[in-house]
Amino acid sequence: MLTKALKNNFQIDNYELINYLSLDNNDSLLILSMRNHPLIKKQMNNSRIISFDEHIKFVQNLKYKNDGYWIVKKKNKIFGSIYLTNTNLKESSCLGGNFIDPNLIGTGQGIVINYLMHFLAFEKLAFKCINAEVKQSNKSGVRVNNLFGAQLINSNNNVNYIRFFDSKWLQEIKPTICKLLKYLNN
Amino acid sequence: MNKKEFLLEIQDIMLLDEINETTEIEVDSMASLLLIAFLDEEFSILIDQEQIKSIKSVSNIIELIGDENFK
Repeated sequence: MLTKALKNNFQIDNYELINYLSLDNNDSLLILSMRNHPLIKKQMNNSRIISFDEHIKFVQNLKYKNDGYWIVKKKNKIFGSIYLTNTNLKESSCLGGNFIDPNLIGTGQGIVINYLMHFLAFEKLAFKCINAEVKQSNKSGVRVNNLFGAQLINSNNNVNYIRFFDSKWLQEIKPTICKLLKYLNN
Repeated sequence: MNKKEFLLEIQDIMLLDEINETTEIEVDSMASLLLIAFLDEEFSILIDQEQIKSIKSVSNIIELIGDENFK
């Protein structure tokens, strides 16, 4: 069930989450150009530029993998991307990541994409735990993760390995984040 | 809320090691959001991003709140 759901599209609030497998070439190209933007790629584990051919091959291979990649659209405009990889069905865990349109960096919208990622993983896909990695130099990312209740598991080579839990999300984090989102939308 | 409690909250929002009423601050996007929520919830003061841009020190926030609104 979950394997199939990782290929689905979703709607959360006013945001459309469209699976990479359903994208047309134009949206594929747009999300790749965001991912290759210097401000985005420098925060990635793999920080080199990815070619369009590589990207298309990567997307085609997603059909056979238990990974989910989505673009997030608001009012038909690409807002960012969310991905849930390294899924472990036994432990009901995944490795979560996301990025926003580089033009939105510094506007507080990082909270929105993280809210959508947690909503998707915990409420739509019923994962129990999201693992994540963030570079310590990414001060904003570290701060957002703390706001979302990240539990630090380990640190190595300037990378923090963190974990989020569904119980904490529902009971504690989501209400706080929803309150903050209200101010962001004003 | 008294001033001591207020300063502790601002220290937490701004991620400062030390704070007093004259401390200069730089409000990034995340701090801005947390500050807007804090001022609304604790003091019923609704400010926008434009007003945030004019905040350069803790004393600017105190002026926004008004001395009379602290316990």
